[in-house]
Amino acid sequence: MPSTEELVCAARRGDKSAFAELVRLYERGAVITSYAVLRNYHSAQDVAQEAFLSAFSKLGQLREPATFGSWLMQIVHRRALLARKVPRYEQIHADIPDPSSGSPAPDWLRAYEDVVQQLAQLSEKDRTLVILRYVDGRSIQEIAATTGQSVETVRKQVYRAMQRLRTHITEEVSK
Amino acid sequence: MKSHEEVEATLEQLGNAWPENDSLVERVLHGLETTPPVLATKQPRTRWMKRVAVCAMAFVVFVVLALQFKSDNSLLAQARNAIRNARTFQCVITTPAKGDKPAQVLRGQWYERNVGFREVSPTDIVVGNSEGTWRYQKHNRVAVKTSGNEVGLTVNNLLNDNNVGRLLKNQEYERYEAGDQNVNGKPCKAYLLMPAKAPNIQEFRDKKRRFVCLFDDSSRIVQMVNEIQVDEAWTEESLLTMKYDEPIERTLFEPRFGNDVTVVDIDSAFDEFVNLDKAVHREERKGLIYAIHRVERFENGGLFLISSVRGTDATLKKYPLEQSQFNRHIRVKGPAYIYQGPLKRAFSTYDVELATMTHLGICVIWRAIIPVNPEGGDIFNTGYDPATKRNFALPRGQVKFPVGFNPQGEYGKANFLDKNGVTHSESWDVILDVEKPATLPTFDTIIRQVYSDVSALDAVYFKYLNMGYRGLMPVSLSDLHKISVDDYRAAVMDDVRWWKEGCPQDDPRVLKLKGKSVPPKK
Repeated sequence: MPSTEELVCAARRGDKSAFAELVRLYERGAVITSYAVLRNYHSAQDVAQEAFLSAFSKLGQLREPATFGSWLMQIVHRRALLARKVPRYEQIHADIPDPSSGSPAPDWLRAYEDVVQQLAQLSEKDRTLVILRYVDGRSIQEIAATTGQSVETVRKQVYRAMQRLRTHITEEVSK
Repeated sequence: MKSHEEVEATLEQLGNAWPENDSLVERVLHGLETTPPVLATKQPRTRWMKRVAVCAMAFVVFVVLALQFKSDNSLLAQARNAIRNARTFQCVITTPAKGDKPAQVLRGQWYERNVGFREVSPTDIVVGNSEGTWRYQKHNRVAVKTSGNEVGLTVNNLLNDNNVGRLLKNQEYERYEAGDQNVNGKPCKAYLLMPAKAPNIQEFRDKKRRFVCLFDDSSRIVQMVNEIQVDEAWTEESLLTMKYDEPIERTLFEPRFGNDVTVVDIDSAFDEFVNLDKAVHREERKGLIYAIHRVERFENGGLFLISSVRGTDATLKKYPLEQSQFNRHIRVKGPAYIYQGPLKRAFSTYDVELATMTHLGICVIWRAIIPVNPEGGDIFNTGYDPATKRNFALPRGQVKFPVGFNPQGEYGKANFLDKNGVTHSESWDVILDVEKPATLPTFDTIIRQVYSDVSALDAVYFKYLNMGYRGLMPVSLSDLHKISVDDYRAAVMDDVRWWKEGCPQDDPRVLKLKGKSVPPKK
């Protein structure tokens, strides 16, 4: 399995199939990050798609290719915030759909609204790891190969990220 | 505390529930077809190299801008300046006579510096002078008066991207000597303008449509002809004429719309609606005044509130109201607007933004907060102590709910901008005494009340009614009169029902929003 770094380097050379692999790897994290801000699944997908395209055109600026996942999540988050902040009445006049109004989530996602919001509270790095491990169902070994770190390091990082996620969930429940 | 295993299981279930065919890969790859190729840039090895690169880039940008400015200054910038500097200005767009159809005035604008303006469009007439601004809506024969008026804004309006300014900005142009002609006895030079953006841009590129622009000897545009090729001959579709510094009849700036036209002073009605002295709650935060004008419980544990946000006098002095992109003659954009999106998320409730309105810098929202589980007890009566991290019951009759605002404009930039260029919202909790009446109003009653409120303030230009599905079917600002209370009620109910039950993907409204064809009714 090629590492994120290898995929980024290949994509930088114009290899679109390598970039497609990066999309497969990080798309759920991107959609979750965006959805947590917009609370609108279709808009979240649109923002995630735009973020990938933006990331592709800016790959040359990424100093450490191995950090692509976190970097992408930052782009997604920024874009989602921008999509949300456009005043509604101006959108109406401009005939632009408002991506941020509360929306019915798709049936399959509705039961996970809370955990999605909690995932969004994690740092980009933690969120990426948790999603790769549990939502995507990748093994620790696969993630280690992807991130270019040792299995033991990844195991510890995932464990700590989960601890932080549990803390966020507990705090929210107690509110 | 949820166990590690429980959280793991939830995440895995989310992963399993995620539709396999919902991947973005194809969409992104399709998008890449139109994305410029990635340059395999070599990363600068040291900081000083990066700085040198940045300086070099800045220099290049400066040179490009300077060159652009220089070339633009030769024609279009001068044309813009001519409008900006004119003491009086007239701009009229007409269509030529066709067969039995006489020539028609499509739009017109008249302006005299420090005196007044008049703008005529197919739907309304706006007139302004030192006493105020009147917007006469042809559909209901009502003229709405507001004190907010700055005649000078008309020039900004003329030169903005939604108006004549669009034609004079970022255009490519070329000399068209064959089109030179005299206008009003003065020789004028012709140029062909290629718009940078236009819905029918392809027609321009295919040389099937063109703008012929005539400049007088002071580089002022005096005529712009929109021509289309028909049977290999250029035919006029519309004609824009501009006149500078010619006398304008002052009566044009007076609100004379006819004896049967009703004049409504919207300022007093709106001020009364958002009167701070009558508010049930008000507080100052970071130079803004947040107020709640009405709060009440309704059926199934819901909470309804009307709130507003505006700048304090000191804030407005430092950050005056701004001109909205779409506001044409008055400054309405205040330092912030209320918006439920950025509020602290309450997972156990659904926030419905029933309507919003903005007038002279004051933003108002009608909002319903509906509990996910109506049987789950009074969710608004629970407090949380961050020190002990424990919940506690508020005194009987009290409610707690999240409120907030989104800063905007110069105020937002100065006070809420982070290093990434994102303006952050502000949210907090409010606790109020709201007794539960013996009989709770229904949600239906609440919706009808909102409709009634908004209708009473119909003359406010910037307003919005939530018309259902994801708020993506809003009522356009001028079309509010086309929506009946029953339409509105049905739309809000759909919004809430779809939130609970999921959105029917075959609903004609949803299909329309997605740009898909709507099957004919059987």
